[in-house]
Amino acid sequence: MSRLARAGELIGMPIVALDSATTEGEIKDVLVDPARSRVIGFTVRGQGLLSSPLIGILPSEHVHAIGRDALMVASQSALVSEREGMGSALADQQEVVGKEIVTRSGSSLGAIGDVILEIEGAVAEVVGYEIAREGHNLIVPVPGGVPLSGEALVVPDDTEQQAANGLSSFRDVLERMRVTHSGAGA
Amino acid sequence: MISYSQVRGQRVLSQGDAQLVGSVRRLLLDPATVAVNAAQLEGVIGDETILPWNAVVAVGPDALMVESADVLRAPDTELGERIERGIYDLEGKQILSDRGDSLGQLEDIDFDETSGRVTHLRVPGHSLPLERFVSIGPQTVIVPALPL
Repeated sequence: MSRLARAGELIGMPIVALDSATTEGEIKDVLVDPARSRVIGFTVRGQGLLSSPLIGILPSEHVHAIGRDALMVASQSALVSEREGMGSALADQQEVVGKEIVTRSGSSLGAIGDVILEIEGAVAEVVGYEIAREGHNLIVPVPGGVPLSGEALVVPDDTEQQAANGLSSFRDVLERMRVTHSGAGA
Repeated sequence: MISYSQVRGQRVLSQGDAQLVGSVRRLLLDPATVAVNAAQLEGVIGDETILPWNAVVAVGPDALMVESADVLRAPDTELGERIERGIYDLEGKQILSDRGDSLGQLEDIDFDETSGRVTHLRVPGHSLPLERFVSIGPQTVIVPALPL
């Protein structure tokens, strides 16, 4: 059973090694590859202090499970230094929070406030974005591979019609879209 | 069946000479065998503070009985280090499933007084049956997640 979560909720989550039951740090940032709709890894800081320096990178393939209370790894060696292999992944990583979402016909839906993830076991997939609006937030589904630049993200015109105002209603939106897609394929 | 809290602080008496050997400071849990395999005593003269659980001949309501104080041994370096790191201070540790979900804070454990085998971990409002440990750390105990 998968669950939906805001990427922002993962920040500060402890990273616990299964072999020693010790906390190796906490999530500083979630590294998202919007083009492929997936989380490629996490930056890790020392536990407790917001200002703690970066102590490593956790590539997604080294994650054992993303739980509600902790992110589990097999051992401390799951963390790598920035130099080890994640350099290019970090370079591919694009900051999406703050970017504007614009429809194909040119209407702005607002700026991205958070990334909505669907988490199952060790895998976190990007399934939507939350747009901060006055009074209420809006969650819109965004398929992978949509054009993205330093300026904006361009989405289909009907994106706002698919919007939900919370994670549970967004789950219904996703299920409906999936039924439609699998129906079309059958 | 007995709980950790019933044993903690309990006197240890020698059957042979009726002497007070010491009192239980903490139980030493072995994650590999899912069992209490020793108790560390306090009030003992010298550094032989470890009472192997299989040397306990009776767990009574008022005392733990051993044949004599000769069954005590000194902790080896590795055990001493684990004690120092707080691995065996179980109370208050967070119980996490191997999927990363918190199951509560450890209040007490239930175990079989003869074999030492741990059967349940107690958290506020619940008693979790235990098949095995994944690992035990200074602040955290990891157990397998229940099958979906």
